[in-house]
Amino acid sequence: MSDEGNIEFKVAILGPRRVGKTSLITALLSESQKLLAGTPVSIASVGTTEARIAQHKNDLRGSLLAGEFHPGALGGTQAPFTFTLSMSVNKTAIVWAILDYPGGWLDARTRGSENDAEWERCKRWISESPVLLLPVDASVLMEATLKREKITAQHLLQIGQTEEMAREWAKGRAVAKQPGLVVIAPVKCESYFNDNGGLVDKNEELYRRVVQAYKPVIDAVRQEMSGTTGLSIQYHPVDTFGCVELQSAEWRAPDGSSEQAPLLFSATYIVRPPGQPNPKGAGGILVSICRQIVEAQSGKGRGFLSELWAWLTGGKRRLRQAVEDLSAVPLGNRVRML
Amino acid sequence: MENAESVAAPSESPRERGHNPLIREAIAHVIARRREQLPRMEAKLEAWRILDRRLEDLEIALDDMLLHPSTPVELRGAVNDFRHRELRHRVAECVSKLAVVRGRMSRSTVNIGVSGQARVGKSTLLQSIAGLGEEQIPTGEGIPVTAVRSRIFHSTTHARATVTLHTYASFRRDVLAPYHRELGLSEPADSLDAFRRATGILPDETLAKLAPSQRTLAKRLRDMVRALPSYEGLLVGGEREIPLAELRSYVAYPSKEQEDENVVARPYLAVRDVRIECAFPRVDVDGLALIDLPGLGELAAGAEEHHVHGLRHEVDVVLLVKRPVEGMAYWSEADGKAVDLLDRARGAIRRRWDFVFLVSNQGGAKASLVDAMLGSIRRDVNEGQDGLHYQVLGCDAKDPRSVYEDLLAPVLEHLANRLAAMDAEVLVDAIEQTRTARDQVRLGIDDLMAAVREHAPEMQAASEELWSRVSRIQKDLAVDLGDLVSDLLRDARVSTEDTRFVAAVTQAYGRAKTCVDEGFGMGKDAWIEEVLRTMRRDKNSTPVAARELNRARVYISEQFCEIDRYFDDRVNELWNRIAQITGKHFGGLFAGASGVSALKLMAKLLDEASEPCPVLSTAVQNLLRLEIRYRSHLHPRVRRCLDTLNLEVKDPETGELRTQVTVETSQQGAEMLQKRISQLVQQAAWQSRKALLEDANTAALVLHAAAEQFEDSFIRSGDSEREFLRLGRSYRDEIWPGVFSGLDAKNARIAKVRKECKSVLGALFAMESDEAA
Repeated sequence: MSDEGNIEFKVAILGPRRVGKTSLITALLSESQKLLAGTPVSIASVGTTEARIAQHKNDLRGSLLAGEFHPGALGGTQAPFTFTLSMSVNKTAIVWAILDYPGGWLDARTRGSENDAEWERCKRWISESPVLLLPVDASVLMEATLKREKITAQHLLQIGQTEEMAREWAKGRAVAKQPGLVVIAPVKCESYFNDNGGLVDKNEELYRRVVQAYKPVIDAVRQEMSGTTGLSIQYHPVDTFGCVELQSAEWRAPDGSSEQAPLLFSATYIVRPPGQPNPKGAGGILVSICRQIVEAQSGKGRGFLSELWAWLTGGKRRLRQAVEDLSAVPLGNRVRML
Repeated sequence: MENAESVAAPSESPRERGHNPLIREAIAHVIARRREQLPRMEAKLEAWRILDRRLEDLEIALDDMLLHPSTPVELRGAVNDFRHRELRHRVAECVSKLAVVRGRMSRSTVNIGVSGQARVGKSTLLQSIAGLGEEQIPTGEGIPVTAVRSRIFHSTTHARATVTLHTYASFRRDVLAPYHRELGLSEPADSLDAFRRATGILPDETLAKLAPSQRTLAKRLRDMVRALPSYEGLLVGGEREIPLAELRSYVAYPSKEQEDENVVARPYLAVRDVRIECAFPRVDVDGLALIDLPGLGELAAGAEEHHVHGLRHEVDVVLLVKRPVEGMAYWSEADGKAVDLLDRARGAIRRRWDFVFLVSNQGGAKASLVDAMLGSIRRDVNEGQDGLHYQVLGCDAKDPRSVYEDLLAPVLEHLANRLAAMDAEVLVDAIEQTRTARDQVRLGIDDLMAAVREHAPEMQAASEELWSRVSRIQKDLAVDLGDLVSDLLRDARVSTEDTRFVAAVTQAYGRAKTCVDEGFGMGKDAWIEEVLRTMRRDKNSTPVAARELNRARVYISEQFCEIDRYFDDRVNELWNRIAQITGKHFGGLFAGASGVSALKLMAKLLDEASEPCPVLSTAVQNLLRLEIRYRSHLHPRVRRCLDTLNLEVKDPETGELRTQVTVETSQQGAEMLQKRISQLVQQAAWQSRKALLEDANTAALVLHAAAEQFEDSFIRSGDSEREFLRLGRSYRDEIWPGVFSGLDAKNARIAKVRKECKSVLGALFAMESDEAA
């Protein structure tokens, strides 16, 4: 799990394809850098992650320059990829390792048997992760008005598959008697908050819709971990880009489809002048993870979090201080405990 | 007066004009449009015929009532004031006018009539246009040769002539009878045999005593009798196809040489009509027909009215041909009479130059005579100004090229430009006249019903049977209306989406989006250019941005206002359902009317009952006032979605106003402004769509409330029961025909008048509902 100077912290993401996982991690990195600014601790993407995030930023910049933003224009993940964000001081670091795999793999029908072995590795990763991150496309939920659109939204968010995977994750945490943090993170929330350049405040409606849609997932995790302490389920809405807002959406029936078939969803976004990315809400996820680590110091047992804490207290004073400082940062008005 | 000279576009040559595909399309469009309107005109005509029959029934009922000695004097006076014969005359005029319109709309061709005095070259002109020769359209020197007018259709698939033959009955009616009338003779022989034996009519000595004008007619009649063996075999009716090469004897008078023979064959007398189909060599317009009209100076006895009638029904435009030759190169009295006749045929078409072209057949004519004739037309017809009343087109009738380029091409262009307007004038005139007549009938009936109400003695015998029947109606209505209200409540409470509402909202949203895509109705480039000009004038982008955002906000609201059509449909459906329920229980009381008209009639009948029913009437009238409107019911809820379409918006974090769009005054700035405003409008339209769809059952809630209110006030209000009884007493014979037969003769006659008045009203309401639809 760690060598002399580094320790790896696994984070699992359960999200459908094209929900915006790469964008979320880019936002997480950007906000984490702001939170750690002025401290000796820095956070940066490392290895292939650096190139990946740079590519993503380039793509985004191109879209923003065009003045009109189509999320579909950013490429989706085609193969499993582990984002590594290194939070380091001197030669010691906590490496946040976030496994991103093709969103389509959540569904066995679209995964394909040739990917079974790789998927097994992903599942193992997920079960070992103390943190389960559930990104949600806010626009899919919020722009669904008609019955067929709402049914399609359920399909697109893969609520059923997410529920199954979350249940497995919770079962594993319960068996290992380990705490767990579930973060439900609606992304692309810029159009529903008025605290980051937007004019309209629909955050209550967003919260209501997310909780209603994810109730089966929340219930499944709670059931599985009912005998375990240390479960926290949190709601972290994130403005992944910060400088866009929804212009219009389209729910279109695929050519030749039946009346019951799910629709295709696409959204067009306006770029708010001057078109500079300004994500908001992702930093809270890092804060919540740090709180989980700090809280583990008082816990018993020999789980990963306890080992991590022990590692931090063994001569990694500055890094431990950074984790403690981050855990003390207020979460703000957007975050809610579920 | 508009100037007829504007008909032709001067920049194009005639040939170019004639082959302009736009002309071909425009004429095809007019024909298609007529076909679309035909069913409506036929329904209208039928409605007026029904009204005529109803008035006839009323007339009989009134006569019958007046005959009865006990009819009160005051009522007799009211009946005399009613002037039903005058009203029937107005109705007959409407029927005739609508028949003319229907005739016009039923034409599948655009018909050009060719007229003019004898010897002006009409037939030559027709030959040139249709590419036919002497055998089909005979011409001749000195004497008239056209005996039967032809209708010639441009056809690229057939080359044939179809002759419609008289029977003796139609020959007697259309050919012989006018001569007999004109000459003061008794009716023509009523059978062919009798006619065959009548060879002795009009001997020479009788002929000699007649006035010269009558003598010509008498001679013609005598010729008909003498030539009978040559055509009696043809008096068999039906159609016969004749080879084009053999047509002449069926359409032409005998030549001078033939006339000099002892017995002259006159097969043309058996011919009612000739239809020729052939390809017009230079014409590129489908559905074109030429109507060869008889020379206006040579009309046979009694033919003028017939001619006007034919023109009205068959011709879209008339070419009145003149020839500038010695003795004819001036505007004669006969020409004046001819245009007077055409003026009558023009009917509701407002401009003379729309309907008639004067054609100067001037090929080979002396220039001095051409000038003299045109001068005479300018002076005597056009009040010194060319084209003031009629446009003159000059051509050489013998030269097909000149006929096409100088005459037909401008006429076709005129038709392409003006035919739809002429149709509209004819239609509007008919509708206005029928509306006026309908109002007059309505007023007359209202007065008559008021008089009957005031002066007629009380109807008798409110029997127990009546009470029991009225009570049953009220209970049955309560059950059916209760079911309806329950249905509507279910609709209002369930979350099933109303697909029609969704479609209406989606369409409105689509229109708003399209408008943005198309540059706010003026094209993207034009919009940018216009905005740039305004910015340069203002030296600032703010005013134009504010103006364009305001315009966009208003435009989006207008698009969503179109949802009112959906609401109207829903309200109409409710009215229809309630009308159906009431109609079911009130027997024949609303016969003929349905839907909203039935409810209006019901309100009127409730008001005008011999025992008025104000509470029930108010319930119906309140129901009829029901209206659901986007602006009043939905717009307040979606108004916030349009807030973003203000130039200045309040920053929610600072509370200060911030300007949404500021651009530099340049081409790039204008393009940026176009993009930004388009995005904001698309966003507002999408948000409006969402807000409306989230509130999709407004209509169901309003309809339920309205139906419940109607049910309460109609069935359960304090006076409802009493007024149901009054209604039953007032209209018992209509509601229960034949059930109550104990009335005395006097009341029966008055009741009959009342019943017929209601029938007339029913016919009027049916007309109104048809018009509203």
